[in-house]
Amino acid sequence: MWWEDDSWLDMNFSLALDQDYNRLTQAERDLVKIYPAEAYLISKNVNIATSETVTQFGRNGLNDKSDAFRHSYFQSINTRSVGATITKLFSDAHESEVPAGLILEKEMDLFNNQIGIDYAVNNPPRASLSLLIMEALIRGELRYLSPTLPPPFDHVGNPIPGGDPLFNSTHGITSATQLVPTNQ
Amino acid sequence: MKKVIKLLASIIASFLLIQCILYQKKTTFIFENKSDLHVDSVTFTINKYKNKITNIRPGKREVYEILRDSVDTNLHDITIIGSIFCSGKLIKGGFYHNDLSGSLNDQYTLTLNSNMTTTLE
Repeated sequence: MWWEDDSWLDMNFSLALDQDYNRLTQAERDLVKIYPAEAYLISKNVNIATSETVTQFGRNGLNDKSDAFRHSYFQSINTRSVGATITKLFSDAHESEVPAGLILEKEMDLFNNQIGIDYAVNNPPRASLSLLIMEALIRGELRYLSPTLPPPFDHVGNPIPGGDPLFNSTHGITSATQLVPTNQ
Repeated sequence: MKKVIKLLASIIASFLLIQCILYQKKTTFIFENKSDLHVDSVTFTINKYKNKITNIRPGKREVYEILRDSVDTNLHDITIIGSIFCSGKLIKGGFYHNDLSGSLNDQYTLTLNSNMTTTLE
């Protein structure tokens, strides 16, 4: 069938699902073949989670509290869309080929993903997941990375002195960086 | 008969080739200079990929397209840094990150606003 054909998916997946099939990890590709409809729903939630993060924080940060929120909220709405089991499969698959230098980032993402899944499972379908996850973040239930080197620019575009020149590959992570609760 | 088959085969092959070229996935980068500054150059860095546009006058908009296959990414996130240079000096920039998907969007726009703030989205 078409959803099991790598060549077809590579050519057409982005047209329908906003994602490039050849930019998925192997584990994600395998899941797309098994759960094409669920993959579609999850791909549509990417922009929703990204927009909600900007609404809440004014930015889509990296390894900071906005990043923690984005992951938790994304997996919570995915859980409502496709259920906890398939959400967990896709969220783990997305983190399956993270470069070795970003291993702390992977740990952070996996931790916050699980919080999002749990909040969706343990709360009524009409509860505001954005609000619940923001409250959890304030209580310190989510994790972010600290200390990190800043990106080259602040949120209005000014160069930051001491900004990491290798930020594109290091994401600001150093040997001193640790996972920290979001109430710190 | 053989000639007709050859002709048909050529037409089909050409059609397929054109389709392949048309369907190569592209991403558009836009630099919008809403300021009064004459910008020497702007660089966009996506993971290890780098592209540069030069000589952008005040009020001008520069657009360029890249083939997505020319950008090597890590399948986990897209991190883009846009840097704006004037008189050989880095004056402003923009930062974009999304790790919910490793796919490039159709379009990214770096805007240098009239109040000298920037956005990259």
